[in-house]
Amino acid sequence: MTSPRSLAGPRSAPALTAPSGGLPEPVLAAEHLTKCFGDRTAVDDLNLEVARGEVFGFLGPNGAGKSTTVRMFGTLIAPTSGSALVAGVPLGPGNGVEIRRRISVMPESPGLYLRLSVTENLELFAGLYGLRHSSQRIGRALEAVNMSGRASDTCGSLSKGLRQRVALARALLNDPQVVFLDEPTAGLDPVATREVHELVDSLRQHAVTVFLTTHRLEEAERLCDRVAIFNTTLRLTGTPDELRRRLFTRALEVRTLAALPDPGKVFDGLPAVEAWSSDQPGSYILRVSEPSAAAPAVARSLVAAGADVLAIGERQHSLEDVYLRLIDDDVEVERR
Amino acid sequence: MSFSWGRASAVLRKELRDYRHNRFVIMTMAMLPLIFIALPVVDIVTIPASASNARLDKLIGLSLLYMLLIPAIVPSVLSAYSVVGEREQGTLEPVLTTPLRREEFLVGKALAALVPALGIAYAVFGVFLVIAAAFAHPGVTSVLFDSSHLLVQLLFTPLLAGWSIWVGIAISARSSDVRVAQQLSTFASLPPLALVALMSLNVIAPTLGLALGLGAALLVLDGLGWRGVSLLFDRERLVTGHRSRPAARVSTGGLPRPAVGERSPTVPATLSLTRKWGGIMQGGRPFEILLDRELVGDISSQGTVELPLQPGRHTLQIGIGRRTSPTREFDASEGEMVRFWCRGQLFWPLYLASLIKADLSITLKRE
Ligand SMILES: Nc1ncnc2c1ncn2[C@@H]1O[C@H](COP(=O)(O)OP(=O)(O)OP(=O)(O)O)[C@@H](O)[C@H]1O
Ligand SMILES: [Mg+2]
Repeated sequence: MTSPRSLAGPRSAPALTAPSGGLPEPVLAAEHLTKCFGDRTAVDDLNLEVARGEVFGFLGPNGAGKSTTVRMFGTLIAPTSGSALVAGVPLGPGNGVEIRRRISVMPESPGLYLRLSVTENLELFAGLYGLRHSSQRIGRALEAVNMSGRASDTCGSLSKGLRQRVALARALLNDPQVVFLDEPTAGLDPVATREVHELVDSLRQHAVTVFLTTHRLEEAERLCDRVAIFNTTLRLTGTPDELRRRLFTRALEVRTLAALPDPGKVFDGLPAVEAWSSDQPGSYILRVSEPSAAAPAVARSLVAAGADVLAIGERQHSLEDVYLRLIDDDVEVERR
Repeated sequence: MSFSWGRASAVLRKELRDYRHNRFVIMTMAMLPLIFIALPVVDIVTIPASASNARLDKLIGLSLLYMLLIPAIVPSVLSAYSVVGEREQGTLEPVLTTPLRREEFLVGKALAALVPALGIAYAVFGVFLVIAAAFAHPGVTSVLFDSSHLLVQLLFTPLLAGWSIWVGIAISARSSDVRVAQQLSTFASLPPLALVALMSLNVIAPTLGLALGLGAALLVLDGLGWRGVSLLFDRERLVTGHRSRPAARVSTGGLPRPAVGERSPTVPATLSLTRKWGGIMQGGRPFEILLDRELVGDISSQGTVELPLQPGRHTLQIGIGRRTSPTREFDASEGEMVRFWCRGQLFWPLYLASLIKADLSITLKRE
C-alpha cells in the first residue's frame, strides 16, 4: 500500500461529525489520532465520537488500520500523535491501568491458552481483573455464550467458532463499559454468527458501548447504530441511513405494466420531481428530494394518465453500495 | 493503584498450570536434574579415603558446582519460553489489555521460573547429600557437610536462578522463535557461574567472606537484571514483536530507464549478489533485497541474483522483518559489475548482539 496521504487527496469525502446536540457525552473519542509504523501511516488523523450505549461499526477493507485503531484504544500501542478518550478516561501513559479496567478487547485471533481448559483460561482473567466471586461470574459469562457444557474442555480441543465464543466470554467477565470486538464473526458459520449478533444486541440492552470492526456490511447494517467507513483516513460517519442519503440522491422507482406513451407529460409537471429517466420500457427513476411526499402525487398523475401502476417505491441502496462507492476508488488508485 | 500480588499470582498460577500440560517443560524438568546429579554422585561415592585434602576439596567443589548448573539452566529454559511462547500463541494481546502492569507480569513470570527451579535444585542437592552421607567415606562427608559448602550452595542457587530468569525474559521479549530464545538464554546464563567456578575450584581462595561478597555481587546483578528487563519491556514491542521497518515497495527503482532522444545511451551497471550457505536463518524464508530502500527481489540460500543498475550512488540492504544487514553504500560506474555477498550471522556473540542491534543479523560484504 502506498502512502495513504496521497490516496486521500481531495477525493476523500469530508467526515460527518457526530450529529451535534442530541448526543450524550462521548464515552469513546478520538482527535487527530494517527499511527505510523516507520514511514507507513496505518491510521491517519482519525476523529470520531461514540456515545454511551452505542453500537459503533468501524468498517474498512483489509489493511485499513482497523486493528491498529483498536490496539491504540486498548492501550497496546501508543499513537504517534493525536489524543483519545477511552471509557471516559484520556488515553495517556499514566492512565493505562484505569482504562483497561473499564474496557475489554476481543482481538482478531481469540488468543486462548490452548493447553488450559476453558475455565482455567477464564480464571486467569478473573484474577487479572481482580474479580470477586469469580466462579459465579465465569459461570454467567459462559452461559451468555452457550458454553457452560464445555467448561472443562481443553481450549485446544475446541473448534474455531467455539474458541471465538470463549474469547467473547472472556471479554464479558469484567462487566466492561466499552467492548472492542475486532472482527468477532470472522470465520464463523451462519448460526454462530447469529449468536454473536444476539450477544451484541444484548450488550446494547445493557447499555454497554460496543466498538465493532468488520468488513461484513450486512453485519454492520444489522447491528450498528452508527458506522464509520474507514480506510486509513475516516471517509464517512453516520447512521447507515445517513450514509445512503449522503452518497446517493434519493429517488423513486416506478414500474408500469406497459411503457408510458409520453412519460414527459406525466412527470414533468410535478413539482416534487426534480428529474426523471427511464432505463427500460415501463421502468422509471424519478429524482426527488422527499420520496414520501412525492410518491402520492406521482401515483395520482400516473392514474390520471391511465397507466397501470405495478409499483412505486423508494430506490434502496444497501450499505454495501455506500461502502463500495467509497472504497472502490481507493483500490483503483492503489492498483494504478 | 500500585503493584498487585493478586494479579502477579494469577500469572504465576496460570504458568504453573500450563507447565503440567507442556511436554517440553516436563521433559526439561525431569531430564536436567538426572543429568546433573549422576556425575556428582558417582564422583562423591568413588573418592578414595586416601585422597589428599586438596584433591578432596577440588572434587567436592566440582560436584557442587556441577549441580549449580541446575539453577542456572532450568530457569533460563523456562523464562526464555515465557514471552515468545505467548506471542506465538497470540495470548499476549488479550492479557495486556487487562489491568495487569508490566511489573506484575514480570514478577509472575519470574516466580513461575524460580519456583520449579529452586524446588528441583534443592531437591537434587538434598538427594545428593543423602547419598553422600550413606555411601561416601566419612572423610569425604565431613568436608562436604562443612557449613561453608552448604551455605554457598543454598545461597547461590537462588542468586544464579535470578540472573538466568532476567536474562531469559529479556531475550524472550526480543525474539520471535522459541528455540533460538532458549539456546541463547542458556548460553547467557552461564557467565555468573564462571565466577562461582573460580571459587569452587580453589582458583580464588574460597573463604566465607569471599563467598558472601560474591553473593552480594550476584544480588546486585539480579537487581540490575530486574531493572533492565522492566525498562526493556515495552508493550508495543511485545505485541507487534518487532520494531517497524520502513515500508518496502516493490518497484523497479534500480532499473535503468530507456535512453531517450539524441543523448548517447548510458550503459547500465550490474549488481551481483550471492548468498552463502549457513548462518542463522539458513532454513528460513529467502532474504529480501532492498536497493535504494526499495524491495527489488529476494535471494535464497546459495543463490545469486543479478540486477541492472543506473550508474551512480546506491544503497543496498538485505533483510527479513527486523533482522537485517547493515546498509551498504556503493558507487557503480557505467558497465561496472558490482559484487556483494551476504549470509546469516555465523558468530554467536554477534548474533547475541543482534538482538539489540538488529542489523548485525545478516553479514553483507562487497567482494
Ligand atoms: N506492527 C506493525 N508494523 C508495521 N506495520 C504494521 C504493523 N501493524 C500493522 N501494520 C500495517 O498497518 C496497516 C493496517 O493494519 P491493520 O492490521 O490495522 O489493518 P486491518 O484494518 O485490521 O486489516 P484486516 O482487515 O486485514 O484485519 C497495514 O498496512 C499493516 O501492514
Ligand atoms: Mg484487523
